[in-house]
Order: sequence, then structure tokens, then C-alpha cells
Amino acid sequence: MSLSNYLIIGQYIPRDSFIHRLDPRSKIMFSFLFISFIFLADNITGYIILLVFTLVGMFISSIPFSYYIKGLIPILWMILFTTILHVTMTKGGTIVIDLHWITIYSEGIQQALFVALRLLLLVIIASMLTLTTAPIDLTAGLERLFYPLKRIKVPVHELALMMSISLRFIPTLLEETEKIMKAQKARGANFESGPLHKRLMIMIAIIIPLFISAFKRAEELADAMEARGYHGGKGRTRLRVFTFTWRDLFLMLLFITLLTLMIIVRGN
Amino acid sequence: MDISIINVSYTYMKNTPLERKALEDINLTIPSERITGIIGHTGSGKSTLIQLIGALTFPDKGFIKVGNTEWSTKRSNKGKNKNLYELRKHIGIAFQYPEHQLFEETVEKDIAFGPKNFGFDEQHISQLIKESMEMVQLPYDIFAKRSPFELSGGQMRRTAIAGVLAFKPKVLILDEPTAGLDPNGKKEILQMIKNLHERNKMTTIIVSHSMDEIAAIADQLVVLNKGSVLLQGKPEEIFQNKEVIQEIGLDIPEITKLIITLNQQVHPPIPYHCFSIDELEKHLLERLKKGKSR
Repeated sequence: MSLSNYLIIGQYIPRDSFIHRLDPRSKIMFSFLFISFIFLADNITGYIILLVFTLVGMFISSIPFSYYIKGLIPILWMILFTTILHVTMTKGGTIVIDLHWITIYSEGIQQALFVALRLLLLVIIASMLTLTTAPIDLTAGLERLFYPLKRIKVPVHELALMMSISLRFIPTLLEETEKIMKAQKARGANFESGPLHKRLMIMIAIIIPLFISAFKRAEELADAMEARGYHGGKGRTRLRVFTFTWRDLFLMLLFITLLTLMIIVRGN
Repeated sequence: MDISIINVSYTYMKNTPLERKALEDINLTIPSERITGIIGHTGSGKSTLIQLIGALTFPDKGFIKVGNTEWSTKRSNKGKNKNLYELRKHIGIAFQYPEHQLFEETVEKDIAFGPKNFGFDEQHISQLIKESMEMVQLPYDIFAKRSPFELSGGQMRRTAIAGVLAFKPKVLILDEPTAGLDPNGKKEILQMIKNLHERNKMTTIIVSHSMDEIAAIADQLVVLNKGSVLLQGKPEEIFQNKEVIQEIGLDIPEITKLIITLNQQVHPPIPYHCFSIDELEKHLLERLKKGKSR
């Protein structure tokens, strides 16, 4: 298994689905608002609505479900941990199981289920955003959304550029790490076993070449950008112009419907 | 050590949308104590092939045998990884970019990394460092205490190769040893490889995409295309298949082209195994002498 197989954040799967074609700005806004909806839900109906919505989204995004599942793996332990905590610690409602050393209440089960669902939905929506939006569109969208902050001297353009460059180079650096690991492995570096100080030494043998090449690459990139006339964000026009289409309108309507529904089903 | 590759397939980035067949049903034997050249384009599977031989990656299918050690897929090898670690001691791979392996403060310390990992003792190591630096023609007194990062491209490559030679492998694998060097640097490195081979008789594998470079020093050539073996044999045999080679976008050496052109005019034909100007000159001179004495 190669390193790059583990990473899902920032991974973009090009497809031609409804979700892919949405304006990145509306996608970003919607994702954040949807996440706040998750915290609005306080009963089973609310969660079912959100779950159904997310499942439909997953389905029309035409991205294999295995990708979403891979994105969930890192937080699986967290979900498991909080679930166990809620099941065993929350008191209230009727007693479901009563052993001598542990009592499980119905409310505990309900709470655990809600928290698990919350985390699950959160991660799925966040991965849906990055899976369906090219990193470059994502940062451009963010830049546009945060543009007003320029008034208060926030370097929006520079931050967005930094973000897009980092996203761009994550896979490159991973690939490089793999190559370096192989080169050192060929010289007898043993990552799997051996005393700690030896393994630390081997980490150094990976980190130093990686850093050196990253610095070199950064310098080259800066030169290449300047050679093509880059001089900061001032007066810069865009290749991609975002346009608001019927799809985005549809998303807004969906958003209003969802909000109304959530408020209606919210108990007291 | 003889190397056999039997029915080996390998898929890159398996189970992702970027999945790509890197090697498909490869069968090869690489004879001991010879220089074998592996030629192919970027993406033809050459790098994957050497990683498989070096036991750095496992095949998805098939067997690889180096000396007396044989292994197959990752699953089938569970619990036997120690054997492969032992095996790596005998296989030295110098990858394409020396920058990927140099990390120490001094050249000397960097070369010591391999032997230290493989458990050679201190005294022996300092002797090995000197030996291997001499083999790659980096004078010990000048280079030992210098930082590997302030060296020129050619010197870096030599240091990287010395770092591999230092643990005395029986198989030496060089991935694009001349990449990024100027013509002189290329010539020097190739000459160095030839000398090394004459001296140590290591089984040597050179990966390249340049026929010109490899033809002159290899005893055997393997031409890879899109993950399969297209041609395999002695250089002069391989270059008989000019059309096949040119079809995949590679070319036969310039000198072979010249010989082919000459052979349209002269009888008996000039043999195809001349791969350097000097050899051709020698051959032609001999012919000239014979012609005169006749």
C-alpha cells in the first residue's frame, strides 16, 4: 500500500456530475451552512432528513462510495470512542440493559447515535466538497468569498495562493517521500523494526532530502511565477469566471427548504 | 546472482481511479556477472521492474528469484520479510535522483549509512568508504569531509553510487545513471560503470532511455514497452529490429545507423557489434590493411 492511498483530504476526483458543476462559492457556503444544520437537528426526524439529503448527494456526485468510506477511516476511532462514552455515561429515559457493573439507558443510546451521525455527516459533507471541487476552484471560491476582508487588511489573495500551492504539492511531496523511503530502504534502512534511536536516525534520512527538495522546488516555483509576470494579486484577472447558474439557484431553494424543514421538525 | 522474473504483473495505485498496469506478465532472466541494459520510455515500467528486483515492492502476480531467495506477492510473503531484508544487502540500487538519498553532513558519513544499516563493524566501514570512493573516482582526501549538498551533479551521483557500493552488493542496479549530466559527465559515468564491472564482476543492471549510451557497455538488452518485454537479447541482435524499435518511439544508436548505411555499399558487411567510434575505426583500419595486402 502506498502512502498516497491513505490520503483523502484535498483529493479531487474529476467527474461530470451535478455537484461538480455547481459554482464553488455556492458549494462552499452550502457545505458550511449544512454543517450548522447538523447542529440544529435535535431529534430523529431531523437527522433522517439530513441523512437522506447526504445520501442523495453522495449518489448524484458520481464518486464511488469507497472514497467516502476511506475519508471516514481516520475518524472511525473517534466515533467509536464517543459512542461508547455516550452509551455508558448518559443517564435518563428507561433502562435498556442492566448488568451489575454497567447500566445502559435509552437516552444514552439515542445520544450516542446522534453524536455518531453528526460526525459522520460532517466528514462526508466535507469530503464531498473536496472530492467534487478542484483545489484551484476551491481556493478561488474562498478567495472570492473572503474578498470583503481585504478592507480590514487581511491578505486574502496571498492566503488563497498559499493554500492552493500547498494543496497542489501535497501529492507531489507524498510521492517524493515514497521515493526517498525506497532509496533509503535499498541502503538497508529498516522502518519496521529496530531500536528507537536507529529508527529516529532513519527518519532523519527521509526528512532531510524531503526538506531540501521542497525548498528547491519552492525557489523554482517562485522563479517560474515571476518569469511569467506574477506580481501579487493587484489588478489580476481570472481565467475562470464564476457564474451563478440555475444549478446554484436550485441549491439555494434546496437550502431554504431544508432550513424550513429543520425548523419545523425541531422539537420545542 | 542470477535473477529470474517469472510471470510478473504489477498494478500501480491499485483500487484507485489512477490505477494503471505498470507491468504485465513479464518473463526475464538476468544473467550473473553481466551488464544488462533495460530500455524503455517513461511509464514503460522500468522503474517498477527494478523496485521489484530490489524487493522494495511486491508483485501482484508471479515470482521473482534472486540467487536462492524467491518471493511472490505481499500476502504470500507474510512473516518472511526478514529474508528480504537480508537479500537487500546483496542488491545495491542507486536511484535516479541522488538528492533522494543524500542526507548526511559529509560525504563520508553518507556513504557509511548503508554499511551501518547492514551491520558492518566500524573499522571495516571506514575501509569500505575509502574503497568505494576510490571506485567511483572521488579522491578521499578532497571529498570525504565535504557536504554532499555542495557537490556538482556528477559528483553527487558518484557519491550516491559509492553509498551503494559501500555495502558490497552482488547486484548493482543503476536507474538512469546519466540523467541530468552534461555529455562529458555522461561519458565519465559510463566509463566508470564499465571499469567497475571489469573489476568486480557484479551483476549490473542499467536503466536508461538512451540506446546510444547503453549499447556500448551492455552485454544484454531488454526493451520494455507499455509494461511488456518487447525485445530481449544481445545489442547487435536487438538493433536488427530497427522498425520495431522506431515504432515505439525509441531509436537505434547513431553508430548502428551509420553501419547500416555503409553496409548498403560495402561487402562483406561491417559487423553490427561496433558501438563506439574507436571500435569502428579499428575495424575499418583492419579492413583497409587486408585490402591493401591483397
